[in-house]
Amino acid sequence: MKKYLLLVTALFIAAAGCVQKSYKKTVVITVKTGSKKNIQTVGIRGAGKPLSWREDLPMQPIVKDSLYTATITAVTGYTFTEIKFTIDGEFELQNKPNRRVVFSQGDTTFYNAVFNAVQ
Amino acid sequence: MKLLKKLIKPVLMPYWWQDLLLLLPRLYCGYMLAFSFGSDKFGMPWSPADKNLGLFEVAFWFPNDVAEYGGIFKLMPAFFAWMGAFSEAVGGLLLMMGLQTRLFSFLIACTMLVAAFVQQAGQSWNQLPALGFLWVSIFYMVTGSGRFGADYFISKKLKA
Repeated sequence: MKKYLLLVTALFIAAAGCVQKSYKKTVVITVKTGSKKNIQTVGIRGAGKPLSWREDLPMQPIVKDSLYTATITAVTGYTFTEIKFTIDGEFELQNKPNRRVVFSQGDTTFYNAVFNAVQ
Repeated sequence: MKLLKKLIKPVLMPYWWQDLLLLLPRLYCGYMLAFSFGSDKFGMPWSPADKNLGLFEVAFWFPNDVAEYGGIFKLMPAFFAWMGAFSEAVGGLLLMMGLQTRLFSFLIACTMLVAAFVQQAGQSWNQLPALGFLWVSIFYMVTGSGRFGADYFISKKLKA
């Protein structure tokens, strides 16, 4: 019985210790919207909290109808996340792969993009 | 030794082609669990590199998801997450091989019970994939690996 208890305890400790390490990552994203006028909303959708593929994470205008920004802070174990931008709820890069935002080694990553254009 | 023999000795069908036919769901489900669902959240040598998972590590997000189920899952989320992911990734591989089929079918069945009736509770369409794996694992818990699995050959050796 003692043996089993030891085995179960060891399994608990081993399992609890085998969780992927996660880190706090901040990403500063800016997007140029191109020639569109009278834009109501610009957003980001993507994988992993606080992003979602169903709802926009709203971006704030630096220059209306031209340049927008958002800062995301996420706790993640991955080395990247995937995103797409939306203007007035409409996705960019339709039927094309998502953008890959690869996190830098440091805490903060800067990602600059042009709406509907792949760099 | 007797218990081990009992645990791995498969139920054989009257004809070999029946065992061959019953190999198909075992191979398909084992492959999907080991190389798709499991390896996405549990570090295996073939896990996608960009998931950044070490060997036998459970993905960082999975214990958080498990904790949200509440009750006992909230008390030991890392343990349950690790066991669930291990059952899928390693259990799927061993199910394919027909090695310790009953033991790993049991672990897979437990994982799928939680997936279907806790994680996806009340969402009947979302329950279907987990239920599919649950029925398959219950089946192999009863029959074992059949003729075309490692358990069959090991149990024959144990007899000798």
